[in-house]
Amino acid sequence: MQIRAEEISQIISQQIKGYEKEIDVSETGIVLSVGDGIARIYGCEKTMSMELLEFPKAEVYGLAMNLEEDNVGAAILGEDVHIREGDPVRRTGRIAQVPAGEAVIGRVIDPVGRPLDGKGPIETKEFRRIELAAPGVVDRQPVKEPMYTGVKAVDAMMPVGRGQRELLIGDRQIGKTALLVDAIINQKDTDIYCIYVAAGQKRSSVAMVIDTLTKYGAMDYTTVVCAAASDPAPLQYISAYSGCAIGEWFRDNGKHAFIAYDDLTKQAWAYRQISLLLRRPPGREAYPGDIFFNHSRLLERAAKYSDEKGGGSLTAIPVIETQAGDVSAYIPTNVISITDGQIYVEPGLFFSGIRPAINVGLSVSRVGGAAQVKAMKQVAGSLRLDMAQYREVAAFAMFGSELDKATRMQLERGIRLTEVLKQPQYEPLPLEKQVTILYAGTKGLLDDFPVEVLGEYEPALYKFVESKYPQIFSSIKEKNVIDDETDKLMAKAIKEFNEDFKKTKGLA
Amino acid sequence: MIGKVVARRYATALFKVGIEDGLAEKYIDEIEAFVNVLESSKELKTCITNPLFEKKLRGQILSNILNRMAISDITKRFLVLVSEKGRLAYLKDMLEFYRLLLDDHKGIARADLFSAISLSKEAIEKIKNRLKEVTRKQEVILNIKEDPSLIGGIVAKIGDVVYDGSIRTQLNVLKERLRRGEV
Repeated sequence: MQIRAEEISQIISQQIKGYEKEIDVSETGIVLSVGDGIARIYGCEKTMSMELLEFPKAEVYGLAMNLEEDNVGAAILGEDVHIREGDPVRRTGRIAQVPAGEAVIGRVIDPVGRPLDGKGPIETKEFRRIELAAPGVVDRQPVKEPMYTGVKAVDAMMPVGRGQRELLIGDRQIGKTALLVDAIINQKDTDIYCIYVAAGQKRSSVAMVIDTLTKYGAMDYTTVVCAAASDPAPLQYISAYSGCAIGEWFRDNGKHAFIAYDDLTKQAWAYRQISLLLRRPPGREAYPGDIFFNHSRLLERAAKYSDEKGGGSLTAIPVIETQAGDVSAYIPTNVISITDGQIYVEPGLFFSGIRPAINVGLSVSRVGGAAQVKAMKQVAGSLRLDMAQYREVAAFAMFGSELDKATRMQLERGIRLTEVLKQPQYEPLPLEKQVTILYAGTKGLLDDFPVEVLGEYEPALYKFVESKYPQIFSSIKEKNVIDDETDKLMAKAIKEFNEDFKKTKGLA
Repeated sequence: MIGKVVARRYATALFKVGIEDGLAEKYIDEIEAFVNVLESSKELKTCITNPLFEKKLRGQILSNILNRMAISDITKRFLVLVSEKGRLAYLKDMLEFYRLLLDDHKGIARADLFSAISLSKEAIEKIKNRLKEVTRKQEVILNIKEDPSLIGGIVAKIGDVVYDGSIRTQLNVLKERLRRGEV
């Protein structure tokens, strides 16, 4: 923002004219003690819960979290080193809020709405409180539309619907964030806006995510809320709620949004830190008593509104990082019980080359088929069955014993389907392509090929169908169903391509 | 911090008694007198508040002092009770809370008034009347202090609420607005 010299004098003269009118009324208190990011304040007696308090001398804000009989406990949203005992504190009368709406799309902000991307101030009159009650029962309707992640394994076997909460759980460094980024990139040509909440992440990883999103043009419809590992714990704690408030704006205005919380384990750590410093009694693993409520009230805000309410939706994919695959720890079990299913990623699969490393046996979606279109249901039904049978016989196969033909067939099919479910990073697939390759896999049309060539087979098949039988893709895309005609055409096209492919590979 | 809670409880209890028998103002004077005695001698304060000394002994000393002072039975009993409960150290806070309760009861507001220059009688009267309106109290007792750093204008502080009409604050607000580029 540029101001010219004459404008400054104009502003000053206006200020001087209006000078007499202004008397600054404020409610104040004093700092009793400060330390570890927590200040205790005497006075400010009418302070509301979650109200912002100003420390004028240190130029930081605090978040009123404990309202006690004789003092207010505030978590400081910034550096606490400049605050001293006896410093004045002012009430702002504002409950913690963030800017929302169109103005934040494509921006990177911190949990209180300050821009971090150097693109200037966020100009909006629209603010939302970060803590709001979730919509009631009457205002909702069941999840019924799909929100495609573009990842074959997810969209086919544990589909995510608009308004659903699907947990993404697994150890560190095995592609959880990559899956989220893919899901965000896949919303490029849809009406879904995305919010990526980075809570307690390394700044370098957040920068990398933003970089990737920008590269694939995904920042045009994405907001990043960032509270990095070096930010104060209160900011990390409220980051999830801030992101949710931004997402709710879309939901309440009849639009659709998708929010990724990366990750709630670290957000829980931050909340534990604040709670312990505020001397709330510790419970299991030293988490406070309301740690379950912390996550449940957050995830409950993801919802699908009824048509009377505009039919907007907020879909949430929270991430939980486990330690050595331990899903029975406190926070993982809590969040598993809150969400409508989980995507479980495993290091073993990741390092054996199955990427995304989704364990399809342990991953579920309780919403299930309601979040799938007919075409996907047609191929996913037998896919799920084939994979389940494969897992059963795979254990036998380990012993190297002789197997009958039927079992061998199941084994071969399973191996090929596992291969088909592999997918490179940043290449989310549209529905019609997913359906086509899964169709080929489940109908046994891939059984003739050695597993190693399937990686090349898949893109070649898409190219072939696109150039020779484009009506297959367009029919699935438009009708969302494989009708008899398309069914026949698909079988014919794939067989034709198989012949071609065999020749080029010298397999025939 | 626990002291504030304790002080509030005891002060409220004594105040209730005071309102019932209509001697609330008498009690505050008596307790203030006792606090003054206590504050005047450090040794005395230590010897009747320090738990290192035997409780019985402390009680005796306290009652000796109380007998020499011409104060009412209620106050005496109150002070003995406070001593027995080991809360004499918070007596000053109790006095403070008691005063707040009494002020509230009588409709008095106490305000700290900071001004850049010394104020004329008429000006003070005007400010008093205005503050009476704002606080809806019958009486406002001002504690006037001079503070040249305000540059001009006055700042009134009643309880937690600060009415800031000083030039210093206005300049700061102006500075902040110019920095943010708002008008």
